[in-house]
Amino acid sequence: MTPILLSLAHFCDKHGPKVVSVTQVGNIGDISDGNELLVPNYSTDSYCESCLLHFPKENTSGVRSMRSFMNDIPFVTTQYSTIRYQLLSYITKKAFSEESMVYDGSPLVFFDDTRGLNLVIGFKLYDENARGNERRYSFIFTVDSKDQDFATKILSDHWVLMINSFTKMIDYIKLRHKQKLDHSRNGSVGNPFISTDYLKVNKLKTATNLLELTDDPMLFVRIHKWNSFIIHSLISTSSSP
Amino acid sequence: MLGNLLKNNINSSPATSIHTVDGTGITTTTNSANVSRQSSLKYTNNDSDKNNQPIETKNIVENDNKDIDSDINTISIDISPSVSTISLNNFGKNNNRTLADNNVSNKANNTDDNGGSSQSASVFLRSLLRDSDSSKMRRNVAPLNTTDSILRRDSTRSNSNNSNRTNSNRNEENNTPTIYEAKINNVNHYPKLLNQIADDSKLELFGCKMMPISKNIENEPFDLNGNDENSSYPFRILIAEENEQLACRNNFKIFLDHSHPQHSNIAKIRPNELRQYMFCSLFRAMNSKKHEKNEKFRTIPNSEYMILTRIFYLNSPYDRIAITLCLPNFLIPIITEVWSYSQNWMDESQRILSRIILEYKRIPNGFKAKKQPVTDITESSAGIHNKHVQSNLANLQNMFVKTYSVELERIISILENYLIPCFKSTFEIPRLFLFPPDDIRFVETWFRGCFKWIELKDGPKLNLLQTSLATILINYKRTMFLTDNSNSKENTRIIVLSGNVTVANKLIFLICGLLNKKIRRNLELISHPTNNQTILQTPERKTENIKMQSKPLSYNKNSVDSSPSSVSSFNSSSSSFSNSSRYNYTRNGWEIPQRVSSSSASIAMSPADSNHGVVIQPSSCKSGNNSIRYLSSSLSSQQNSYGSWFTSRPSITRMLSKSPSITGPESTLFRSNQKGSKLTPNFHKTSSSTSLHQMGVIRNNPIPFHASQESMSLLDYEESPWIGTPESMSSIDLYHAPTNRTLTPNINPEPEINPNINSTVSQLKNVNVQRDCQRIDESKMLDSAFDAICTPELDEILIDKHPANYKIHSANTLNNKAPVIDIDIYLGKDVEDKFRFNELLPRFTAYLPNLNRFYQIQANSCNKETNNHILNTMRKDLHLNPMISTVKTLVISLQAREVYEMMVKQHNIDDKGSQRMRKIFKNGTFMLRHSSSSKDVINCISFLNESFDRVRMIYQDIDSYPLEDQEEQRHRYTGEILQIFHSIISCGSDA
Repeated sequence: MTPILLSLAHFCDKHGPKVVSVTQVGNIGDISDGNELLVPNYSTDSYCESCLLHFPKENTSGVRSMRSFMNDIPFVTTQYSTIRYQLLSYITKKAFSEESMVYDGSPLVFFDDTRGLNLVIGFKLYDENARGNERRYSFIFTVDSKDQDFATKILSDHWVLMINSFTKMIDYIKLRHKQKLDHSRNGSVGNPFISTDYLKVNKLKTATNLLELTDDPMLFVRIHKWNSFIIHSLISTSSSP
Repeated sequence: MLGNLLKNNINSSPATSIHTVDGTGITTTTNSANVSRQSSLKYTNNDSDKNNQPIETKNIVENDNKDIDSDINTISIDISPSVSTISLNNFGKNNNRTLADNNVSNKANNTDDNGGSSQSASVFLRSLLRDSDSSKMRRNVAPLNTTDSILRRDSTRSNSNNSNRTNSNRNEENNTPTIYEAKINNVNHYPKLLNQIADDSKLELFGCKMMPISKNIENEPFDLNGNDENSSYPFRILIAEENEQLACRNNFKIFLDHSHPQHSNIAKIRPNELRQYMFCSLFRAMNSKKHEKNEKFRTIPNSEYMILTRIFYLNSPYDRIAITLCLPNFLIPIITEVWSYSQNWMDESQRILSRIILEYKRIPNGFKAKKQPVTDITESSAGIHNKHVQSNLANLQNMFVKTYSVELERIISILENYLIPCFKSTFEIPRLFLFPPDDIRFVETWFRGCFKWIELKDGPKLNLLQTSLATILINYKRTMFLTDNSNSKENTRIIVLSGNVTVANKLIFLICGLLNKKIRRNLELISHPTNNQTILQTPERKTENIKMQSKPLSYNKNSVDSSPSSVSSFNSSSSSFSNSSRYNYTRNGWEIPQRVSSSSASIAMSPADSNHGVVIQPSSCKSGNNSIRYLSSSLSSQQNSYGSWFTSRPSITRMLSKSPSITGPESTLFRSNQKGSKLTPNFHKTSSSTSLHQMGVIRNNPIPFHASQESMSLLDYEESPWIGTPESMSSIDLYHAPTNRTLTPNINPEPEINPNINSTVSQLKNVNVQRDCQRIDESKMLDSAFDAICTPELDEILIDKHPANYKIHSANTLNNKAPVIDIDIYLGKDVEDKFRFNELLPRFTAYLPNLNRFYQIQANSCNKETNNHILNTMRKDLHLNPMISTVKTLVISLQAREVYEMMVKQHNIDDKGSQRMRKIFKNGTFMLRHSSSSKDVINCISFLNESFDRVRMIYQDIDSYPLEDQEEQRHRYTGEILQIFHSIISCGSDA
């Protein structure tokens, strides 16, 4: 199995570093259609709203995974990884709390034998309901391998692609977020200075989902499709003759 | 040990040594050539350590004499003689000498070669020490600071550099220093190598005419540490330790903090800030259960730098040691590519540091007794400083640096001599673009290139080209690709040796045409002939263009036709133009432009200089070798002999008659020979009155920095059958899009001449691959992919009306899996095929002045040390990569007209390796009759010959049609030609 993962992680006010979504790739021609990557029907109650991965149509049928096929290779996006749960928690912990993370879109790459090779690009969104009035996210590209040469070759062959693909998605999210903010500001009537929360500490920190921040109910579908496409690009060019 | 030797040195002649310190000061620390010798000297000393080292770190410690020409000599980007000549010569001298001899000869060489900036090992050491002492004054600042005198010296030096530049600039651009100064910054973004290659060669080799060194820095202020190709990038090494004792304030110690250059911004970042990025959160790290070494790199926020850090634990899990290297930010894209090289350095540094830090901790108070003389010198040199103010930190650091100066210096010198050159080579040398083998424009260019080569160079019987190609196809193609793979046991390299850049590049193109393993279906997606113009245009350039468009041919009539004295007005009228199009090239690499370029005009036509004849000498003159020998590398001077360049020589008068409009005024200008010679920075002017030479200059294309092409152009002129093609007369704007030919003035458009040949040269003219030196810019592809995949509005991305878009699979009770929604990613068949991201280019490059061991294919100049140099490089490959057991180099020497293979094989890890050299081809004979693969090669040669015959016939057929019908004919034969080419490139894979 190609050990490439693309995840979206979030620093939750309540839970600390958490994975929101992870896209993994199954084997080519996998007869089980990436079955081992699918997750069981977990209870979403243990997740707060800001950590939760929302699926389309989940309300009607209890969907917990998104899956796509490209050239018969299954790509699966889930809330957590069944086969790399510990790895992802190590990675997100390191990215968000061990490292001095900067959420300006600049790359951070780290490698060790436990976590493999990781490329992290952080970004933040303004949210009055979050700690520090901002919500912090990062896209993480992981090559789960102890072989440095193998891992760095994947990254060096596609460095610009990886950086740009993350940046594209981040830009999209930020754009949607800005549109949402502008919209809500325009929608609010009256003087902002005499609104209720001006110069007052907002002590009511409520968890907000990324979908809400961007006002895009299909955002996770987009992320899933984009991640699948990127992973597919990585593995198809590196394995081509 | 070196330490003892140094002590002896210092003790025996303290006066001399100190004198040298005073004389040269710290400037020596920046002198790379010296450091290189220094390191080689030291490696010799560490011989005894070698056997105890782990395999992966054995490499850098190798004490062969090859270290003398460390990688630092291989990275000059400019095609001009460089330091390596010196080190190459020294190499011979130093071979097989004892240590003492080495030291002496090194010192002697230093004095000879570098004059005032000479430096021996001990001086370097002391400068390091003195600097560290002076840092006692400045807490938390890099230890290697300096005094005012050095500041002054630095500034005078940079001033003199500037004035030199300005002077040379004046020669090129006649009193436009301000423009030039501004341009320096611009030019820095572009690889110098490109300035020296003709346009059509650039298209063939790189797929474009101009590229930035890196797309990231294209539009940003960017300084490669001056304009000197031998200069290093600024860097800073920080070696620090952190104890995991939260309660302790001093849980952070710096062992070494060394910056280069000392006054760059990189030295100004506070160590405490760096500490955050090096060690990160202490609390988290403590809780982390696993204490294993880890590496990372990241940008330093709000600065132009990045850090590359390794953290390792020393004995206890509470002592974290960090080796940190700060480098300019623009290097980030290549870090992963040179990862293994940086790991080598980290490994070696870690090995050294573990030893000395442990030792240091064992005898915390005893170290002062060690290496007493060193301390003395430090005190003497730092005597002007007040020693009372010393923080613990600085104290510790200084003591440590003093005690272990040799070891620390070794870490620095490996970095300077091996790693930084590796970064620089990887970053700055433009790599070849391999055209897809199914692109008919490329295939036609390739075939016609082969025919030209056979016609001009080989003759009907020599077969050098066919033999080289066949050998590569059969024996090398497979391993060339494998070398890319880190698991390969074999390393292969192809080197073309020639004194002539243009000819060498031609052969490189023909070779690399066979080596594309990847089919690109997206050439049109990465090649944007129209957009490029807008991308590259700054507002100023736009106005220039408008200016030029308004009077496209004006100066042709007005100024060139007028008297020589009016040339200055020509220059002034085109000064804004020349700002952007400093270099004028021919479309055809092997021919001479019909127009004096603006830069040459400013050199030759300035009224003061117009009296002097200008003779361009071959570049080899500069390297101090016999120029005739170099000329012979690409020529056989005998008339009508095979490969003679003179067989198809058109008469000069014929050529003159083709271009009357310029020969008139310009030749009167140039023919006014006067006695006396004058040396310009770029060109040798002699008093020669040979009118042929004068004509050569008129036809010539004097490109600054590069004389080789000119010198050969002179000879190309003799024989070139392509003279007079209109393509050749257009000067191509260096920075602008290649297609805006209207912007560049045509002095002598004569499309009626040689219409057939015209059709042969321009197949690739519309190609303009968007790329930088290392990668292809695929951002447009990515943009359209994102638009296709992610931007559809809600309704289209997933709705009930389009059930094909998604499908929900209900829960699989057997596997205990929740329901899954299958989402269709539909791109369309053709789009999906095109969107193949393949950005990184292989490490193949064109002509380089010195052998660069980081590149698999390259052309180099030839001299008598070349073979030794190649051999040393191969040995170095072998030593630096424990995975590799065989290194092979195929050398195609155009000078000797021979092809040979050099091989170094290592049977076990301690083995020095057995070397073998076998001739494959010499004087028209294939020598490898009895080898196992020889039959395949011979078959392949005859197959190539047959294919060439067939394709030659096809093109003769096509060319026989009138111009307007050729496209149709071409179209008719496309399938067959592609098929022939395909069977050629698959020759090797069948075998």
